[in-house]
Amino acid sequence: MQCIAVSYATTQRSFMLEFVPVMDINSFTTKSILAVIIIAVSIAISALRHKMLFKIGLRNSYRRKGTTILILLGTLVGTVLITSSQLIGDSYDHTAEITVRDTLGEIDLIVDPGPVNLNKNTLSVLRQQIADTGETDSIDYINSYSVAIQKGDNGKLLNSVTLLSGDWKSLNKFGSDSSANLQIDEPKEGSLIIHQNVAKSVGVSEGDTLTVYLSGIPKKYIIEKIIQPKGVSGFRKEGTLGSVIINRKDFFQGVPAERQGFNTILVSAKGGVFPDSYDSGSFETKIQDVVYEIFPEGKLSETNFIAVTELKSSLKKQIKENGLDIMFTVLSGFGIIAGSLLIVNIFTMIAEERESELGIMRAVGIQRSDLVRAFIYEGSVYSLFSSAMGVVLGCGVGYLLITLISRLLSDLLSSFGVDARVFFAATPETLLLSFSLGFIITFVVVTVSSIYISRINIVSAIRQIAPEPLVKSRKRKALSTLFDAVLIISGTVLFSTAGRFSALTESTPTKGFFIYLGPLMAFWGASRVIFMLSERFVKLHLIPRVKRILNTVSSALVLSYSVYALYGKNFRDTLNETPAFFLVIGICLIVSTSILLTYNLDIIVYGVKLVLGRIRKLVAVVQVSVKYVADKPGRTTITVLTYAVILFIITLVGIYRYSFSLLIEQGKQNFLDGFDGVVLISDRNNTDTVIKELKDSAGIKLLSEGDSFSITLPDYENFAGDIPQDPGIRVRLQDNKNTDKYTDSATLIDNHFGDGINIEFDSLKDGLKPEKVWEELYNHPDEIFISGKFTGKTKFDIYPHISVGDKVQIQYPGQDKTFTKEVIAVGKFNPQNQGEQPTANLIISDKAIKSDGIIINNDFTHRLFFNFKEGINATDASNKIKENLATIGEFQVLVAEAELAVIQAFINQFLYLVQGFLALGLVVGLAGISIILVRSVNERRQQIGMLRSLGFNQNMVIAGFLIESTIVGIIGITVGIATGSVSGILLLKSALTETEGFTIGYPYTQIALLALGIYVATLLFSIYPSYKASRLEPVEATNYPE
Amino acid sequence: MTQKAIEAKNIWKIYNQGKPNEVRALKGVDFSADEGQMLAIMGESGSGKTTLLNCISGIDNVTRGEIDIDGLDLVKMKDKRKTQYRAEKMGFVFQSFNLIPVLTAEENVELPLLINGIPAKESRMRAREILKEVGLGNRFNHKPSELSGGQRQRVTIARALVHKPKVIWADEPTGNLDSKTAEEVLKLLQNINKEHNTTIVMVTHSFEIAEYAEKIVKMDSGMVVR
Repeated sequence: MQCIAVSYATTQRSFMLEFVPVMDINSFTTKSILAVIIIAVSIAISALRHKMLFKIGLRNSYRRKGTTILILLGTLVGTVLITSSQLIGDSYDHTAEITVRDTLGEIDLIVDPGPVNLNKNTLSVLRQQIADTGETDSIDYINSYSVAIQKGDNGKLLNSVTLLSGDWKSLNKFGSDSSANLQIDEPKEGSLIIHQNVAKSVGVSEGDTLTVYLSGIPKKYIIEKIIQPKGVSGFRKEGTLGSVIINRKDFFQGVPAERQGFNTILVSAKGGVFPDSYDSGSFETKIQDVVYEIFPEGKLSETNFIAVTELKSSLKKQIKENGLDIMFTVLSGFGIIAGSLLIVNIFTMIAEERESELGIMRAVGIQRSDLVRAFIYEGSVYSLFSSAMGVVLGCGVGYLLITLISRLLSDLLSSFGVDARVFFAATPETLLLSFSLGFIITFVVVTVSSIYISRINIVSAIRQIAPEPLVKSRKRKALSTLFDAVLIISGTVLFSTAGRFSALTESTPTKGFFIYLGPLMAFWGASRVIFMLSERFVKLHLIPRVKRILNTVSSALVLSYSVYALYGKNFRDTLNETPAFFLVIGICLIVSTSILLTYNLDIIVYGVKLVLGRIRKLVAVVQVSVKYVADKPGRTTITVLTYAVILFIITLVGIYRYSFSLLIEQGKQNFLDGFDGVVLISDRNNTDTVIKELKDSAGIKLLSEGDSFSITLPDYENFAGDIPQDPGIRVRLQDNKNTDKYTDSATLIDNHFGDGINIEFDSLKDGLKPEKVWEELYNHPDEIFISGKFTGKTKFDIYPHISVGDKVQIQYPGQDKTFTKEVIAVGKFNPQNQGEQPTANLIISDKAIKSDGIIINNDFTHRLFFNFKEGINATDASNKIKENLATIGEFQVLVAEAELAVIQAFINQFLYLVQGFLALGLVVGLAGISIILVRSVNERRQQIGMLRSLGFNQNMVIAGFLIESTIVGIIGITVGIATGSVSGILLLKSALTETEGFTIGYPYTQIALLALGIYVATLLFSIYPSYKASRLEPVEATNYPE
Repeated sequence: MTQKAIEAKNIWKIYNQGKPNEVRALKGVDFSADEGQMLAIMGESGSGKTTLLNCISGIDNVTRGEIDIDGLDLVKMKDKRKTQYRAEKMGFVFQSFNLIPVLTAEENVELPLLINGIPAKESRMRAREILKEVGLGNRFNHKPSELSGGQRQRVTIARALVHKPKVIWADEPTGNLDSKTAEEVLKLLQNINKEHNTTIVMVTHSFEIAEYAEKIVKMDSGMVVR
């Protein structure tokens, strides 16, 4: 059975009608929707049976419209966050489908012989063999190359585009469903067809001239058509933004007919664009087996291999599995918790405000369950509205989020030839799920709060006197004891089981949970038992003190243990593999800090009094305000928490953002060991041309050739790093009898190398000065430099026993003869060098190679290092070099400043976006404080009237309310920022223990501005209730509260 | 000759003036109290006695009329000045006690002193003295919810008295108390009146309570009838 679903998508096909399978009854979404239906129907039936209670429950919503709006605002934020996070998943699913339809269509797999063109006979054999598997719908051929293109002669240049050529009459029919392909005609000779996004990128229109550089040879074409590609016409090579399609005659101009083959075989598996039963892995294996039958191990020649690559599933997976939706969902968790706390606070306040009324209701025979019902009716109305509004607003936030993510990723990755656009999509299933989750979370919190507040003491509620402690029934006592026993036993079991897991395996994600939660549970149980015993044996008036001590000690222990968990070795695997673990630790951290502060609020209050109490005019105001805050530790804690949970995560992200930005900033200096840039030349025949081009370029100060090689190293004990396996130049100590060797790289230097390089030395040959090392090395072919000693902490320096003065033997690839070199210098490991390291790992002179009689073959990439002259803009200069070199051939140009600036900008902007997303949650805290103050005005009308009678003027009333919100706000801000800072720093330390030299930066300015901004917002949100309170006349003292 | 502590002339208080639901709570009331006098305003529910007290004490605004207090026209005073005047020269005792629930007895009592800028230490000392005077020397640190009705009203009286006001306004000060406690509270007010020479204006509907006063003003339908 199927149903029609309507999805909105930001593509040309703005509204899509899709057939999607009816929801699986076992799916989480279906279960959630069913839960909502059951809850809603139950409430409706109950409301019909208890019309009066329903009326009582609802009257507050319309009687106090301002508060209702604030409540809805606070509670809908959770749903907004859930919806927008879930829509990221939807959008990536949708983007994956669009990308597959546009760039592959029916193509499932390609057979790629690399740069070799397969001739007609080979193609025909391959086609037959592949077709014989019976697994395919269609097989066809195409030519595809990576090229650079340029608008006109000197226009904008793009060096990552696919050049396509093929028989379009045949290709248009590719696959079982030709409608999956955009039907195109072969372009005329001298013309081309271009993909829309490529045309947009270089800024060309139909009729314009476009220069295509194939292997550095420029050729001009007129743009015949710009297409929005679909299916085969959208095919593009990995690492390119899109394609241009040219006529086959143009493609093979001057090439003899016998060499006019194809270099890409397109294969379509049985089924349409998205086959129902398609096992990508097994399909790839089958086709590979067939191809390898013809070409054993895929070998076309000594140096060329034929590759069989499944594309469709890989592409979908690559787009969908980015983890962004999970990341945003975990982050939303903090907003949801803040929203839930707000509900608890609101309902507790409403109950306190109406305590007397509730007491009378109970006294005249209204059951406790009826009170719960009345609250649930009220809460359900809020849940319903806030969830529905939350979903609508969530779509807006989700759209904004996707648009910004898409823009950021495109800016970052377009220069690497990656089309990273993301198209917004919202499926009904996601919207229903978000609505259901929003509703259920609100409903559950409302119900739990209602049950709690319905437990009022009738007499104390009516007479407004201090309630007697609740006397627990025998049954309750037994249940409570059982609960404590379960907590202690299960906590101990979890902890000890985790220890066993630890012995079995080093990496068990659940291990961290067990080790963390076990002691917490056991400790919770134990403290409950201690409190229970104290109730029995300690004098009544001392019980609050015992409670305070227990809560203080417990929260301090939980806090310390949580801090340890963020840094401890036992938790690292779990933290890395399970984001939810971080959420759990984060919450425990914030809750414990808040409880610690709240149960010792009088100390803070005393501090506030001490400071503000010095202002004579404020003494009376402070006296009253601080007491209002201190008198309700529960309410204060919850309000503090609504602030803290959000600020915690915003601060943490801020520290990450700043530290990474700092790392990149430092990296710019160290990326290339002092050089500004490097050109990597894969085809060494082009070296002279590139050198000439670079020398001619304005702004280049210096040029040095630093060839890299593969070498082989001697073995030693205790090395746990990754060991490259390719044979290269062999190096070993002269008298080392160990025959095992490991491959590493070596750099050859010319006589300019020393002018640009900038590294620290660990030790030098006697009498050798640092500034003379490179000159010495260049002039003495029998000497060698080692980049660093093995420290046991990194994987990068693997020469533990080679020191200055040692003789090492090196062996070149394919050579039996060894050459002896003397180590004249050992470098200091530079952890920030993560780039194209000029000094890794051995350095010898290029003279040495020549004197050893070695000719370097074309397999090794040649590197040309350069610096810019002073005052040159690195990014502009880098673009210019890239443009100039693109017209010669394919070269990789890396300029530290330019490359890292793009990454730095991306990290900064992306994490700002995350912080902005999280800041939505702050609305909860602000709405919360506003609601509390508004309710306080109502709650305290008579008291405010009394204070006015006693001599409080309007300004004093305003000041009183502002001091209250200031205390709560500042505690919340402090707790959030403090816990977020500690967590951020510890998490970074824990995650980067293996990266030496990583400096954790603290964004003081940003955090200070954040704190200030939130404090100002808190005051703004407090102004209305404060003003309202100040307008109350003293005569209110003689009125009863509303 | 005895000086007038308060003199109010032609006091009108009209709620919802000009609207269909207009209520004339006070209709041209003339009222005066001598310095150091204990005076009771009596009347049935709805007679306007509390409204009169609210108006002449300055916690409510009059529609028209003149209120001369200490040579100052209370009606013409701006809110800020009026508030300051209340803080310095008046004390209030209400039927529902109106203590600040989050403050202890001594904190409630010292509040008027702090408002008047008396240093915290001195305020605390004076608050304790006055609490002892009203018989609550052992209840300094109790919150209102931990006190009985009579004790709460004593705290209220202590608060009204602590800054030595010229006038104490008491609206049904015994309305929420049993007869024995009510008697104690009234005797306390009587003592204060005599010992401190404080003018006390008390609103009540009971003849028994009014008998504690030196002068009784009877009201009916918003007018002084006797």
